[in-house]
Amino acid sequence: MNFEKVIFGFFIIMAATLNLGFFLGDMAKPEHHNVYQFAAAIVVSVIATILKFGDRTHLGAVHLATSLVADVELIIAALVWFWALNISPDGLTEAAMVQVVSMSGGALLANMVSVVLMVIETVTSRR
Amino acid sequence: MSSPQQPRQAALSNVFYLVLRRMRFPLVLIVVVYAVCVFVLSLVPGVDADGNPTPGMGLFNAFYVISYTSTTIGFGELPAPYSPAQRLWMVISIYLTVIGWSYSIVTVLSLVRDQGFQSALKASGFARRIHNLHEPFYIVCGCDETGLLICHGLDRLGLRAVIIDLNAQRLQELRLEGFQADAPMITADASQPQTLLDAGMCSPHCRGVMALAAEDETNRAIAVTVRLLAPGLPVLVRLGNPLPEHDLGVFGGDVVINPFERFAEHLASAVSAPYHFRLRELLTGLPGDELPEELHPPRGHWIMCGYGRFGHLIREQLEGAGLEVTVIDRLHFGEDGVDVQGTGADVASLRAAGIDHSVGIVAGNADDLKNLAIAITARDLQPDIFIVTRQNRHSNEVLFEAFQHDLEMAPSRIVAREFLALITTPLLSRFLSLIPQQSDAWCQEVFERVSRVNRREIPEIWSESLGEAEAVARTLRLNHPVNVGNLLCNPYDRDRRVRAVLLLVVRGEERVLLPSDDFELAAEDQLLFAGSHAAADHVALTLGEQDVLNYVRNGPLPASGGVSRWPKAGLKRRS
Repeated sequence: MNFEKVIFGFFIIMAATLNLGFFLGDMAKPEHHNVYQFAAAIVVSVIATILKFGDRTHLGAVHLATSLVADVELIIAALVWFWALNISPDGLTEAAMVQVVSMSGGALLANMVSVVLMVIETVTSRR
Repeated sequence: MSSPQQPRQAALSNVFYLVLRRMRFPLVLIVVVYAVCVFVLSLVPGVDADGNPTPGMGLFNAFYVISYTSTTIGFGELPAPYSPAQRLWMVISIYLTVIGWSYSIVTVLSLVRDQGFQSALKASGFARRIHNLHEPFYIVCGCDETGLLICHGLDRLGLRAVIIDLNAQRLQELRLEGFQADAPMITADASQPQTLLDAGMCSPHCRGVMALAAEDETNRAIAVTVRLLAPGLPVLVRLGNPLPEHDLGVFGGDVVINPFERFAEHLASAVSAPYHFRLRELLTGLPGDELPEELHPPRGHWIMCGYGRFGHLIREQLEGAGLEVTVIDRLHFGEDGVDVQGTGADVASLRAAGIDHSVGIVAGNADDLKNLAIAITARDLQPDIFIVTRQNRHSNEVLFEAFQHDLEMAPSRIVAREFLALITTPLLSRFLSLIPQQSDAWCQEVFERVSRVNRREIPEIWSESLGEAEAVARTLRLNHPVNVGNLLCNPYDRDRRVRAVLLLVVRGEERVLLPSDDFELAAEDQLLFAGSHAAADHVALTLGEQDVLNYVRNGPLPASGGVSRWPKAGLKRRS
C-alpha cells in the first residue's frame, strides 16, 4: 500500500462528496445549503489541487486541470454568495442562490471527472 | 530525440516539477492551518460595546482577519473589538500560521541548497544556453591540456566550444581562462548519451565532437554515441591505446589520433625530413601566428632518454629514418633495446651513451623536470648537441621557454593543432596524408609558396566544394571550361593574382596535388586553398558570382553591359 495514494484518494473523494452534499437540496432555498459545508468543499478542493502538483504524466496533467476547474468554479460561487449577501441591495435573492448552487454543480462535475480519472488509473495499474 | 527542443524542455520542466513536488506538503499544511483558523474564528462568539455576547463574525470576516494576521500585517481587532474567547483563538492562530509559513519557507530554502536541485538548475541553464546558440559550435569532451588548447584555438578562429568535463574544479578554472566568446560548460559524464544530447549534439549548428577524455573507454563510448545518434557528424577521438580491429570497425572514416604515435612521427620527420615537418606545422598552425622556425636537426648518432611506450615509437621512427640511436633508461633496463642504465640526467649515463660523438638527444620522459634536467646536463657536456625536449604540461611552458632548446614538442599541442585543423577543414587531412610520400625538396617548395601568401604569417586554410558554388556549377553545366588560373585571378583586376595557393583538388577517388593554372576543373571537385583572409573572400566571390566569373574567364564585357553590371557585384560583396 502506498500511503501517498491513500492521501491522494482521500482528498479526491472528499472533495467530490462534500461538493455533492452541498449541491443536494432545493436550489433556490438558502436553508438547504450550508455555508460551512461549502467552505469545507473549497478547502478540500484546494488541497486536492496541491496534491496533484508535480506529476509529469499525461494523466497527472488532466487531473490537475480538472481540479483547477473545480477550484475556480467554487471560488466564483463563493464570491457570488458574498456579493449577494453583503453588497447587493436586493440581498440574497432566489436567483443569486440558484447561481451559487449551479456553479457548485459545475465544480461537482469536474470533481466527478477527477474521481473517474482516479478509478481509471487504479484499474489500469498493474498491481 | 532528433529535436533540439527536447532536451531543453526536459531540463526546464525538471526544475519546475522538482519545486512543485517539494512544495506539496508545505502548501497543504498552510491551507489546512488557514482552514482551521478561519473556521474556528468564524464561530467563536464575540461581544458588543455593552458587553453582551454576539454570534461569531462569519466565514468571510474570519478569512479577512486570518489573512492579515498570518502575513503579520495586523490591522487590529476588526470588525469590532474582540471578546476574550476570540482573543484566545487569535493567539493560537497567530502561532499556527507563523509555524505554517516558516515551515514552507525553510522547505523552499532547503530545496535551493539541495544538490539535486542545484544540478537540475545548472542543467536547465546549460540546456537554455545551448538552445540559444545560433552559430556553429564544437563539443569538446574532456578539457585537459589538449582540450584547453583546442578551446583556445577554436576561440581564436571565432568558433564556439561547448565543454563537457567530469571535474567541476577543472571547469571552475576554465571560467577564468578569458575566452573571447563565452563557452557553455557542464560537469557531466560524456560517455552517457544524454549528456551529449544535452550538449546539443543533434543541434543543426553542431559541427563536430572531439573526444579527449582521459579514459580511452569514455572516448570510444562518445564515438559510438555520435555515430549512432548523429550520423554524419565528424567525431575526432584521441586514443592512447588504439585496438586496431575493434576501433577501425567502430569509427569507420573518423580520425583516431594516438598522441604518442603522432609525436614520434613528428619528431622523426623533424629530424629526417625537416621540411615535411615544417610544412605540416605551417598547415596545422593557427592563422596569424608566426611561421614555424627553420630547423636543421643533424644526422648522426642520437641519444634517446626514456624508453616507455613513447620511447619505443621514437626509436622505431628515428631508426627508420636511418639514424643510429642509443637508449638510456633506468626502469626498463634489461629489456631488449635499452643500451645504458641511468636517467640521462647524470653525467655518467650520458657519457656511457656516447654523448661525446652524439649530434642529438631526445629527452622524452613523462616528467617535465626530468626532461629539463637531461637537457641541461647534455648541453654542459656537449654544447653543440641538438636537444629535443618533450613538454608534458602546459603549465611548465615558462620553464621550457627559459631553456634554449632546439626543438620542443608538446604532445598535447600536437593533438590539439591536428584536431583543430582536421575538424575545421576536413579536406586538410587528405592533404596531410599525402605529404609523407613526397620528397623533402617538394615540401620545401610548397612551404615557400604557402608561406609567401600571408605576409610571412601562417595562412588561412579553407576548402570549397564546386557543387555548391553557384556560378562555377552553372558555367560547367554549359560545358564552358573553368581552370584553376581563373579562380586565382583577382576579381577586381584579372591581371593580378589573389594571395592564395590551391593545394589539392579531390575528384572522386582522384587527388591532384598543387594543380597548375591550366588544370580544368569539374563540377564534383573539392578544393583546398591556403591564403590570406582577403584571398578567401576573393575566391568566394569568383566562385559564386556569375558576372565575376565571366570577367576572370573572358575579360571585361563590352562597354554597354560592363558598366551596368560591374557595380552590382561590388555592392553585393560589401553587403
